[in-house]
Amino acid sequence: MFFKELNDIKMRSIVILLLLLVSLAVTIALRPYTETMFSQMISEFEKLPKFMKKIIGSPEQLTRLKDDEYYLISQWHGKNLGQFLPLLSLLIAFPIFAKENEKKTIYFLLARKKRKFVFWVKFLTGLFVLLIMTGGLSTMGFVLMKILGYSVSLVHLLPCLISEMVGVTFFFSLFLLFSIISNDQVKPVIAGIVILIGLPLLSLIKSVSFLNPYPYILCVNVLDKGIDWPYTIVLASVSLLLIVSDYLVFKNREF
Amino acid sequence: MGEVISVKNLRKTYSNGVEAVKGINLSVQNQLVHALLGPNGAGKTSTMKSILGFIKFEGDIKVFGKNIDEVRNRISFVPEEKNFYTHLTPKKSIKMCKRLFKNFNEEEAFKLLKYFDIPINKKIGSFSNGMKTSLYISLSLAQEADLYIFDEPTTGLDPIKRSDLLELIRQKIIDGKTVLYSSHIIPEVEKIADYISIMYKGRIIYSGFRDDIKEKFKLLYVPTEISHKIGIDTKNFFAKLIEDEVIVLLSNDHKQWESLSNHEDIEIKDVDLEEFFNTLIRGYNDVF
Repeated sequence: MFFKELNDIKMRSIVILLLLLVSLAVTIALRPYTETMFSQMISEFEKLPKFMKKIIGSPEQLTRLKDDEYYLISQWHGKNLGQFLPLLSLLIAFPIFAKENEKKTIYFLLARKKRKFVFWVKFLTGLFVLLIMTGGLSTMGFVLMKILGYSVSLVHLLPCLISEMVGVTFFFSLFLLFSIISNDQVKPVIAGIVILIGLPLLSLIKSVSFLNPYPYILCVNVLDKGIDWPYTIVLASVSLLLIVSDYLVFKNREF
Repeated sequence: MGEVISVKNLRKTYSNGVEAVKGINLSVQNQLVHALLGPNGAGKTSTMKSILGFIKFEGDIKVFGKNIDEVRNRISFVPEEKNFYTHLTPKKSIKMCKRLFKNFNEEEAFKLLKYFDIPINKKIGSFSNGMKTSLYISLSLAQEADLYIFDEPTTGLDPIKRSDLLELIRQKIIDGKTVLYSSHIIPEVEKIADYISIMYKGRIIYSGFRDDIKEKFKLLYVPTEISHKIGIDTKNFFAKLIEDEVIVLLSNDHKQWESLSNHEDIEIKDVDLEEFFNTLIRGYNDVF
């Protein structure tokens, strides 16, 4: 059944992987030009319109972009891969059960296999593909920059990897719940998009901003503070709770 | 003969309050085609879904004397919606089934696809409904199971393929397997079933061997006027149906036949499954 699930995910994964590889290639290809581009920006920072200033941030941050390590983490992990990871989790998770429910192909599996088996194979295959893609893409940024002679070290790769993997596990478990309870494929996508849009909005309210896991997944503080262990433990625990909920909901669902 | 499926006091009420099954008992014996016959909404699919553990229910269900989860590898099921993975071709579907189920007979699957004239390299998504049904049935029959459960399996099939399928199902019985078969198509059930349970409004209102119906039942056509004249107590009959000035009574009591056969206005006829089913269902409200 693992191969069946893998086959179901194959096409989606290849398309997403290609898109992210293009994004990685563009990010690295732009590296030689960023320094001149941002130097110019720094000199003309005060002349820039207000909204541009807001987008760029502080001139100090622009100065840091001269550092290859900072560039890799902020531009690849932060601006590209990290931003895509929750969406990637949604794209992998939403059809896993919802498609089978919608097409009624779930009967074919459930009549012949135990629910426990069906759930764990589907869950683990999806998570496996997601973690391989996340890990692979995360590492690839470092490897490619190293090959191209940039000054990057392994020190920050592991914290980024952990943050991204725990983050995608959280999002995957959450989106999988929507997939399990839905009888069609539209609802889990809508619910997922609402979550993806809604979570960053929580950052606007200081008291609940910790509920937004984006800064954690984007490795915002990795360079200065290393990995945020308390947040990692809490997010991993929440993910575990979600996985247990996924299983219980699927086990007790009527088909 | 051993009991393959045992259903005791099965009740199923959906969350919207619909009481689909109202405390039925069902016993499916080994090496028989047991047909669940009933009109739409009778509770056949809910009964099958309960047996297969797809829905929650009240009551007790055992398959091969065990909980369904312990014997899933001995079961093959064809649901009402015969949708298979549309991105696959039949050839790839066979490969997938071979990987998924230890008891899947690849050679038999190819043979059945050829028998049903299904192209093996075309995407299932491009198939007609009949082709999809034939494919699903082929894959299910190619599984060497001990119990085959079919929910309205012939929907979408043309008469020739329908007849072929019924023969294939009969062959399973010859091979020592057991079949639970639901349908609302009477000629189909008449052709295939050994044992019939008629379901209506969530209850089993008749259970017995198919041949017993012809042997044990008669239809009595009694003009209403005569009925009043001789004072027939219709409550004593198996089913009662009031038509234009005639009361149709279904009886399995030889004494009733004999006592009423003397009246020349009363017609007593042999009953086939269709008449039996119609009288039972249409007369249900009068009897129960």
